[in-house]
Amino acid sequence: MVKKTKSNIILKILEGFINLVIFVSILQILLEDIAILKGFDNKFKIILMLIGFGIDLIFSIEFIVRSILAGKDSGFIGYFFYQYGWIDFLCSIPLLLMNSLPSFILFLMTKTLYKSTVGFLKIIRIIRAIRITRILRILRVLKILKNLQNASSKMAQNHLSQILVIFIFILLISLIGYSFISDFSVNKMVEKQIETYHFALMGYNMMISDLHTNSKYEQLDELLSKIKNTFLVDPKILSVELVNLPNQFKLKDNLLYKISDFDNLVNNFSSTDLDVGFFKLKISTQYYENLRISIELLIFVSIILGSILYIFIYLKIFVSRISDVIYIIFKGIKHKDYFLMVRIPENYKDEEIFEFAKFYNDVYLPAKKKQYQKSEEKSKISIDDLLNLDL
Amino acid sequence: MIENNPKINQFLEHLLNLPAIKKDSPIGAEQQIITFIKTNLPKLEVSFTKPEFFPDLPPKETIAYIISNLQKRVVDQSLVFFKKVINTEIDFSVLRKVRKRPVNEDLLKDKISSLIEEMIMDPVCRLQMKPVYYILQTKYIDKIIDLLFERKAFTYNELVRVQKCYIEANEYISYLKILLLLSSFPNYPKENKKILINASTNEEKAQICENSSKILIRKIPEIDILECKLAVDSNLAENFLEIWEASSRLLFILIHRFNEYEPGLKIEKGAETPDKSWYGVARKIAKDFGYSKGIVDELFLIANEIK
Repeated sequence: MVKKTKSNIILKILEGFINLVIFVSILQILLEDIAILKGFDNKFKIILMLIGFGIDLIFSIEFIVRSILAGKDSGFIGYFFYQYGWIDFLCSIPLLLMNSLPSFILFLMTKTLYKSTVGFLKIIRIIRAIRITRILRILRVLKILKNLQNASSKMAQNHLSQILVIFIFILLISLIGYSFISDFSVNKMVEKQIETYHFALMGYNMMISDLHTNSKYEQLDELLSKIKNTFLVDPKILSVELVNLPNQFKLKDNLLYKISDFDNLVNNFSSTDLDVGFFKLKISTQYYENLRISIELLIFVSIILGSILYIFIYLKIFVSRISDVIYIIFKGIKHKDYFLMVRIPENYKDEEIFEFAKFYNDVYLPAKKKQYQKSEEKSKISIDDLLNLDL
Repeated sequence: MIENNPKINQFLEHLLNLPAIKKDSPIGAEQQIITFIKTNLPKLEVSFTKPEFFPDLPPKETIAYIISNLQKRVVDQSLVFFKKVINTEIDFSVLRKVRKRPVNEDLLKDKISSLIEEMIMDPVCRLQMKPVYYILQTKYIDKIIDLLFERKAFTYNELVRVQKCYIEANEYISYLKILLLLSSFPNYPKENKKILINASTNEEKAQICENSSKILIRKIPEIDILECKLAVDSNLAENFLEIWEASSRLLFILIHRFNEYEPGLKIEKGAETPDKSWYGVARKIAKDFGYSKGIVDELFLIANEIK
């Protein structure tokens, strides 16, 4: 008896811990995206990455432990397919292996964080979107919410979970699909931008070559100042450097232009290099990254809010109009001394379920009452109540 | 030796403090504990010999002592309650107004108080007083009479015009409480040769009640025979009552309602309240159970307002 109580307490603590990790995981996803958007300090991003790795590790261990325990009890298949084991799986091992572990290893090897630069670690960036599957873990937290409605109705809990899985799953598939499309379109936008720079720089290259061919070296400063003015109005250009210029051009400094906040923008935001002839450019891709993350964040928050709204609105409707009614009728049929009637809302009295409830109220219960003989008083105390006695 | 054993008193305290018992009335608690002891007697006898209980005492004597101690407590608590009701919640002058003749109120109060004491002391009669206790404890009469007198519909008409009892709502509350207190008299074995719960047919019940009202008037001559009849007849189905006996018809329904009353009953979401459910079922079986259909229908309508 004592042992059972202890193991129950341990199980409850573990359950509470996992629920906490689920909430932290959702917060971590949000913060990770906000950190990219707002260009938070790298230290903060490293902490978030490590937390993400820890979360995926905990979920993976939890999935393995649950699988082993399920193998001992009802079987792994039962756990995987009927007790949302597949959700536990989706939110753990794939994310660990494809997202947080590579990031962690990269960090250990290079002491730097990967940055979502164009053409670099594209796969990881797409997989990052799959982190959102962690939302599915909210379903585990639903056990906390069950007391909000009808604690006794397993039907309501199962129904809610199943509909919520479908709801979130459709949104997730859409989001993942969107990630591919958005990644493609963001790449296209970046490529187009680079093409524009490329085209412009090709023109400047030709002008420099012309100066060189006609030996008009003294006109370079004038041309460069014109080019510089062009770059100054484009905030995406972080720096412009001149390379491999013929020696005849006497330049004091190869660095033509450098944005004032260069170090911060290069270290904390995403950027890419572009080499065209005499020019080497550092271009910020943060604008596109922000665009992608903003939409991802919007969808992520929408899923969370949608799920919460669903829980509170749909569950209330389902519980009050279906599962409560069935639960009370079932109790009335099962227990011979249970005589509470079903409350029938005036607005829905024509629905089949309430027609059924009316039959239960008006026909079944009175018939049962006629049959029911209160032959023997039942005591609500049991012999087990004595076990707690400490004289 | 048993009397001085602190463990037994501790055991009884433990039983009385169990959540299922604590929320019940003393009579309800007694009924539950005695039922519990009866159904678990062999197990209890074995358990009581264990070291953590009373290994040095004979189990049968221990159980007998527990029951007698329990009954003593129940009697004490119930008496305190009923005396409080009699002394503070009932205005006996209402009888003077109803019968239009002088009534020695103090003497009447003392006599009713003594009779209730006797009835409470009797274990058989006491258990039959459980619904009376609940009705008074929940102030149910106060609540429904106020509502019924506001509506001035079927039940009001029955109580006032048909019974020819032209008094105000607050007076009717006292009047019904007096009748209710005396309603368990036909189950008091010391005064009745045969008590109601041992009757097998409704006709037999009617006979017992007829005799019982005659005994009651001899015991309390300060009260009118009509009140004796109304009180005692509260145990009879509608078809055994005379048309003017509206109070008996109402009390008959209330006693049956509170016979099934469960204090602190958990109501599931989506279920009607116990009152609404009880009257809802009762109106469908009124004829079979001898309830006045009109009164039950009206109580069903006001059930959600009874707070």
